[in-house]
Amino acid sequence: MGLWNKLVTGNQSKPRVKRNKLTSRDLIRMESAIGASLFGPIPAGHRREFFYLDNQTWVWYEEWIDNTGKTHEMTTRYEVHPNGVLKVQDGQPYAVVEGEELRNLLLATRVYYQRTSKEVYGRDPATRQAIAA
Amino acid sequence: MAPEYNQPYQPTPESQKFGMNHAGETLYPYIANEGLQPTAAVQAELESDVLTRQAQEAATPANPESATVEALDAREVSAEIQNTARIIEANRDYALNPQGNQDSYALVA
Repeated sequence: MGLWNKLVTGNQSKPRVKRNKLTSRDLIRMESAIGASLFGPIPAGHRREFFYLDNQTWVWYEEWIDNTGKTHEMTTRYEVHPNGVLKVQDGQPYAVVEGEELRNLLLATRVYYQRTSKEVYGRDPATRQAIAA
Repeated sequence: MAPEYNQPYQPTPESQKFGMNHAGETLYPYIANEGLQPTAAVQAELESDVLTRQAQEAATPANPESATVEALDAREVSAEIQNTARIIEANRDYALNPQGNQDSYALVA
């Protein structure tokens, strides 16, 4: 086709190049795959996501099918404010995250950062320098 | 299929897990010790970070477990999580715009 085009018009058409531009959503999706693995094995039939969204909001999403075949889903958002962390779930009032839950969230975010830094971005989480290949 | 979701709420300090919803139902998942092994760096950090320090300061011989949980400073925890989030955002920005940064960014995933 390129040669034909060149013969007819004098121009050689450039081959079509598929361009895959990385987006924020792509990165979050990759991070979420790691986030989902932080909490032990995922049961069969479950779908789980855990990721940092933006604006100091972390999201935990869980989807499963009960024994009647009905699909359930739950989205929990953790909003991190200077004075504490608020938990927001569908249809529920805001709740302050405290105690063991707060501690577990802190640990989860730490490990999330460490693993995504290395496994997604190739960065040493301590120094933030690129990890030599 | 997931019977744990239908179990009645029995609040105890030991049962409070990350992911307990407002109705008191213990929701899967939680950080399973058997599935998550902190790195040596994380363990070392935990030994010296504010959580441990506060727990040690507040611990009493009678009930050290509750002192560990109660000693968390929400503001300090928030500050750390917020800082972590900013670094994650910086990682994303670098990955999306590597030409705008001096060092090359290897996207390995």
